[in-house]
Amino acid sequence: MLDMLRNGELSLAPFMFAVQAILFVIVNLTIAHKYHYSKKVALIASLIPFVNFYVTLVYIAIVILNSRKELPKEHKGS
Amino acid sequence: MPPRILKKATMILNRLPVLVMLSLAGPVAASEHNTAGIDAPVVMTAATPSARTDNNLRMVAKIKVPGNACAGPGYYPFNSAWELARNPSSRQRFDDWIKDNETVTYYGTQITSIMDSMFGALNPFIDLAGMELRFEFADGSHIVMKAPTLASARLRFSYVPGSASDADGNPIADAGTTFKGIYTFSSRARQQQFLEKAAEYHLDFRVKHLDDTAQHLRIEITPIN
Repeated sequence: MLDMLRNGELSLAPFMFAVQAILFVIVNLTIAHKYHYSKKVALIASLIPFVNFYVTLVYIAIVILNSRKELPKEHKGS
Repeated sequence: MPPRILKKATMILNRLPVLVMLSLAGPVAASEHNTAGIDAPVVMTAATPSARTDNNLRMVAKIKVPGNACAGPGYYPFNSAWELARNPSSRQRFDDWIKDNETVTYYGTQITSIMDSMFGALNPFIDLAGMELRFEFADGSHIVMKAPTLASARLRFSYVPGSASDADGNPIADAGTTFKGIYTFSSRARQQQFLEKAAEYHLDFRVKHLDDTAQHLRIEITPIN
């Protein structure tokens, strides 16, 4: 495959967009499955070139914001 | 300060590095912002010798090419920048040589360049799309090769037009161009080597010796029309 890319038989930009989309689909579907978000939305949004990177950032932000630990009981009332 | 507010402030500070890292990762933008003009000038002038050799942010590595470097048996060796500047068909073979002998630098530079051209817009601090490598040959001459970006047709390094120069920084005319201007050499041997190489690659020009002192060996080259 590298030789095909080097010889120009395989175009660089479409190949990179495809690899990028596959990577983002995996990440976003995993997050959507774990946090019970719509998988259809995650799949479609991950396949749109140029936008999928921002969508993935949003999904990663979901993971970060959900990673908050529960406060101990004595602090809950205060 | 109440402990609750303190805890919230600590939490925000803990998340800050993650958010900064995400913002630096950068989004999509196939930016083709390389320096070299695609249309090489018809006449190479020596007015600004080695003008394009010291852009340090873009130029990430200087690689020495040994005198016996060759694409294979039967090929002319890559022992001078003249071979690549004057012979465009050598450039692809030189790319093969880089791949075989500097594999880590070759693929590392290409991947970084392509990634930056895809996700570079959120990272305005350093521009890595179209990174350039400088190759120094056995005779002291050098050329600059540019890594592919997302907009490139092939996953190969390309020669930067007008980047070839001799050991003293005098530009070497690319294929299809000729010399014009004042050239300065550090020694008579270098001057002789330059003129011999020019003759070897069948360049027709007139040479006028301007200054023949030991310190400054200057010649003026004018093309023959």
